[in-house]
Amino acid sequence: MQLILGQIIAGLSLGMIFFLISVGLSIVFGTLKVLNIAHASFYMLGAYLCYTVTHLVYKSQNMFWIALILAPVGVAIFGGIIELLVIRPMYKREFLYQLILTFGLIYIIADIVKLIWGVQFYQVDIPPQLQGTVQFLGTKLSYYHLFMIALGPIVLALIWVLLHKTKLGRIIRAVTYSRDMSSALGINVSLIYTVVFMFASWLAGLGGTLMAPMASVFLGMDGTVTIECFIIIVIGGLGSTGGAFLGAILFGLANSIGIIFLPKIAIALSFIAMAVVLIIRPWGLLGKPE
Amino acid sequence: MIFEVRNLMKSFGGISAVHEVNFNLKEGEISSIIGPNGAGKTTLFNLITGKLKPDHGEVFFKGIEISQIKPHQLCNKKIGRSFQITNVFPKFTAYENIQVAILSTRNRCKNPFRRSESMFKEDTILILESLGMLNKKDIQAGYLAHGDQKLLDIGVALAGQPELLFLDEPTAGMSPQETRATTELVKKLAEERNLTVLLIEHDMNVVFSISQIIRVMHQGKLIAEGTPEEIRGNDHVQRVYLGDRV
Amino acid sequence: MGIDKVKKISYPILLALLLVLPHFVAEGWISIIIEMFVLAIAATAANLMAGYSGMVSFGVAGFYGAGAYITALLITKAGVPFEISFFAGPVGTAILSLPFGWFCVRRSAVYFSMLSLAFAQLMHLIVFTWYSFTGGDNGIVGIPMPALLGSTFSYYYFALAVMIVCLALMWILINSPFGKAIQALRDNPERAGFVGIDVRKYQLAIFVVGNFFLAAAGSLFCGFNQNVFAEYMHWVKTFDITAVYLLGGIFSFLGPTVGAAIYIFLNKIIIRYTEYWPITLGATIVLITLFMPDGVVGFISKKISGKGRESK
Repeated sequence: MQLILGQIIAGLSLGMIFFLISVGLSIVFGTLKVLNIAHASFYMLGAYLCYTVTHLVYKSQNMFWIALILAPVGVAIFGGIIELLVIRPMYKREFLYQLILTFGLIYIIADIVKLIWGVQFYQVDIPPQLQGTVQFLGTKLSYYHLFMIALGPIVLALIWVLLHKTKLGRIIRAVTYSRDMSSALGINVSLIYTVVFMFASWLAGLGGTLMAPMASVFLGMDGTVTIECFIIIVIGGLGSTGGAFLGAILFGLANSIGIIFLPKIAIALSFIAMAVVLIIRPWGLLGKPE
Repeated sequence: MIFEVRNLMKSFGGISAVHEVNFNLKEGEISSIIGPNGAGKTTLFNLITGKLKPDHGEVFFKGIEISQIKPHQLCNKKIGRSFQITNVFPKFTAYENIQVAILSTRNRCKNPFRRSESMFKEDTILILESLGMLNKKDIQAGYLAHGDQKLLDIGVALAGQPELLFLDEPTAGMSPQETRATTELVKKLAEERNLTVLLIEHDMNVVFSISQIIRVMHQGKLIAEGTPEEIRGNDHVQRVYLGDRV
Repeated sequence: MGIDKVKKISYPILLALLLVLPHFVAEGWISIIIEMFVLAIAATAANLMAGYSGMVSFGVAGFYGAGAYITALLITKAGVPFEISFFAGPVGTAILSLPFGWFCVRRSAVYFSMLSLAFAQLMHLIVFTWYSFTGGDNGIVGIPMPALLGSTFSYYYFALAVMIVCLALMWILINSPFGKAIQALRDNPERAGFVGIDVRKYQLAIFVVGNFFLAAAGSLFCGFNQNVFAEYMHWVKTFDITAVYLLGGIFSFLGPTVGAAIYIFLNKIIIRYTEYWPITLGATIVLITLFMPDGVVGFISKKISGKGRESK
């Protein structure tokens, strides 16, 4: 019982990280109609920036909170540059070219990271305010995990408020619905695209920043989440924010609980689920059929 | 009667697009369907060419019920269709467009071994000639002028040697000369090949010059059917649609 | 036309060159060229789906690896000689891809790509974790080869023959009525239906054929290296193959082959001087996608034939 509770908490907190990464990917696909395979690279960048900021001035453990603000912004800026230079020319192109281009970006960003930070693994400490565990039902639950579990729904709510209660959100939804109509109504669609892309990058960077204290920061951490994010947004529904949340939670839980009961199949479970969804209900759990 | 439509009905989300439509086509007859936008003409076409399944009703071609057949099977039954928004194969040349249609309708596409270049050369050339497009045969369809693409569209529909031809706004977007030429062409082809032709058209000149029978649709229903003179003199039709445009 | 004459002369010369090459170059280079042959087959096969049918399979590595694994497993577990195992690879993979393909072709292009990726990753996972049967992440090594193909020198001629046969078969296919139907449904699936082409059936057929030849490439490579690893099936391999056919040009038959040559040479040369091969590959891909979408071959053809087509 204790083991399961611990695993559930771990799974949920991992799910929150995946939510932060996947929701950006889903929003970009829904609004810009581009499947950015390199999205996970922004996640990795966020983790590395988190490391740099926390080791910037002197090794103060409170620097994490500064990193939480700065790192995602840094990633967002980088994302904006990428969008302007490389993604923008691709909107009118076919799917194949978009995919292959963003795949090329993975390699480029990975090597840039290698150039700047080298190949060693880095560690980021959990900030002192969140260190330690609390006893609950006989299990030790980590404060940091609980922090992330709390953060997830907050971010989800924030995104929802942004999209549904603000003028910017209305514009974004209009552009998502129809690029041409919005353009005809005088909306600067290119600008909106850039903003949305930067927001998605910010989210991925946030995910990376939050992940850094939980695991190491290393080259190839983008590869550890890329396919998984695909699975999540397919299951949740391409373009659906709530779907990304649901998918991520299910994914996190399935992984952490699955490892206890069906260790060999646990990883395959996600792929099978993705295949099943694509076959029976391709628009996902919370998506809309085309 | 080569073609019969009985009590055809189709709704989308509660809105009736085609409602209790009944008509027959005689062999060799050239007729048109007219009606304001949204009257249900294209939906009707989609129903009788297998793209949509009707909610109720039946469609008979030479006595066989065809409303449940998929488009790719319909083709082999000697029914051809052209499209409102030009629907050719943009990367193929005009020649290849016609040729692939011939290959497919003669059921040769399953063959992975022969060189397709030389197959059915005469038949392809013949169709291109009758379209007056022989000199453009090596141009990629995507690069052809709009009017030529629409002609090619008709040519592709003809490749299957159909007995029944459905043309969806064949002169849309054409200049007056092109329109006249196309109208003459359709008349000639129908005579030469003993085709039964049903058109959807908005250009009244075309409709009245080519049709033996005109049918008028309004809000999903067939409200009038008759010769051009009868339609011209029909008050209901005038009120609903023609106004004083003719 | 100029370009046809150039083709007619250069092909025999190229063939002659390839036949005598092993006598003049070092063994290291022969290995590299064999790799090129394998990649040429794989990329051309993948392009049958992508360029000619408009179906971008993101699972190409899975079927490439499947061919290799079937061959390897037959030899090592069942003692079936290479002569038969080599053919069993593609045949077995073609059969395997039938059910997968049936599901994949039922939806639109985006879903096709993702579902093919999911299936390939599933295969990768099975191979990776089924340690007792497939060797897991250790793979299978030291696969015995017939004496006739023992040396790099002799395997070169075998690989060359296989490549020529595969490319020839694929060429015949593309230029047949079947090939025309496939291209028609790429351009306009709706119209293709209306001229009598059963789109789903043809898409499934080309999926199976494409994977057949992908598996042939995999089996060929497995025979050369005398090993097989889970990496054969990893999505990184899919990217490499996709990059190759894009680089060469998806709308020409020999584009992927040209792409394979460029890719391998670029790879071997860059790796000598720097460890930053990924960024080179990535940047090349980005530039090609942005500025030369028809690939190298497409780019050169356009330059040679000038404004060959009349415009509106």
